Amino acid sequence: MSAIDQLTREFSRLPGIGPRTALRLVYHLLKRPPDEARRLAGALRDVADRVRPCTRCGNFSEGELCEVCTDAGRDPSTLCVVEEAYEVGAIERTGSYRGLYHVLGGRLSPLDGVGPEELNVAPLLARLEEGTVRELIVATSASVEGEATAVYLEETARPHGVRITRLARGIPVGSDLEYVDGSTIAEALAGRREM
Amino acid sequence: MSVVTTPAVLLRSFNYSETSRILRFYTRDHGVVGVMAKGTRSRSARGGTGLETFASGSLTIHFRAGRDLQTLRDFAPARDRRGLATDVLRFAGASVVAELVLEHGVQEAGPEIFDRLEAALDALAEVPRPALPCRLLQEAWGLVALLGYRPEVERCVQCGADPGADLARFDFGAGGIRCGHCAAGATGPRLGPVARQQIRGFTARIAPGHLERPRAHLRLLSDFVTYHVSGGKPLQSFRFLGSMLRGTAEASDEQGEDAAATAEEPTDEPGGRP
Ligand SMILES: [Zn+2]
Repeated sequence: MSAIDQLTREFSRLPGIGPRTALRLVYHLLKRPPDEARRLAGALRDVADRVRPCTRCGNFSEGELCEVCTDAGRDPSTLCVVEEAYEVGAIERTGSYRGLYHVLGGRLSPLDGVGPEELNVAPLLARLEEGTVRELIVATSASVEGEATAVYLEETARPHGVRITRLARGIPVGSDLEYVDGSTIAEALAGRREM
Repeated sequence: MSVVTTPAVLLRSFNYSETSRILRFYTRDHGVVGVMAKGTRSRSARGGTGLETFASGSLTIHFRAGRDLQTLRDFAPARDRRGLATDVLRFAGASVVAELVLEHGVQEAGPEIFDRLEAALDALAEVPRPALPCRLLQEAWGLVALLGYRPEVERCVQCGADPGADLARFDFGAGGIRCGHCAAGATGPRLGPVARQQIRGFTARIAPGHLERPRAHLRLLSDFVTYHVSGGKPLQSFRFLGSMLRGTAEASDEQGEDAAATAEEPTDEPGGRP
């Protein structure tokens, strides 16, 4: 396979990019100075080599612990549980949350074989066990699966004696946090309710 | 291609791309229908609202027979079933029922199955929690029977004899019981007369007065469905249900024991244990 075909195929694996757009991207790179493409290649390699889950919260991280976990200015008594690591970014961009995170790595989904064992539930309970956390904010999606996951977490975390809250309504039902604007997330956080 | 509108219940959805989802409905007029829904993942998506798992309503699609995925035109939800998410056991039970119908997968009109499915989801959302495992058994066996897989629990599949008060053994391959004389080779659980009566009741959606070992019954159902409905592949949601049942008081078969490991057979009542 030619180099052009190969890169086109790789691009077209990306979300939202069809074969035609992929080919356009390749031609664009070929028209630019070769260093630009090398920089892109380097950046891709760095992401693949350096970014991994934070060993404490599951957020994207370039070290053992992520930027949030190592920030001494964050409030360790509040823990916000999200489904996916990219949702940490969505909440961070609102600038209205100062606590820490915990990434589940998905949500309960029986037909996909995703139960509690497939999610980072045990590490979450271990963090609660440490005794620092006083409030658990459950920010799973506003879908049936996200709600069921929230209820499961609530039942599981309840014996640890922490306050458990859920994002206020306002996040459109069925939407991923990823697609919700910052002010809506900030409002949902501010209006969180006891579970 | 034609535009088709049918009552439908959404049983499953997954993200296909950044903006699109694949939805699996059970519809009254066309059975199981897969639908590609473009642009439904973002907030402003038209027609995307109300596309929640277990919701039912009126589905309008661009339909072409024999095509794997139809195209979504609109879904007008009539009722959500968010109540199923307020309790993980209800959620698990509803998932079993949904997967059962999806695995059967027949793409033809099934008004009776549709109505039964709707009733099952409603029942699982509303039944008092202690009665949930029992109700799930009724609804799931009821659907299994309606889909055409009724287990033979009255007479021996080999000789036709009624085992009466004796133990019988379930033969998954034959889809029914074998009496003591014909039991050689059958590897299914032993079933006493009460358990057999209970299973007969479940397929007719009759609740037994009291169910001592719901988990053993659920295991038999799961194995039966694996063998007959889903082509040898266990339903994912049965495994999920099992993990949710672990530790719940109302569904444990024996106190202090992990029933999943020990109770292999729904041989509860008289003459139950070999
Ligand atoms: Zn971290």
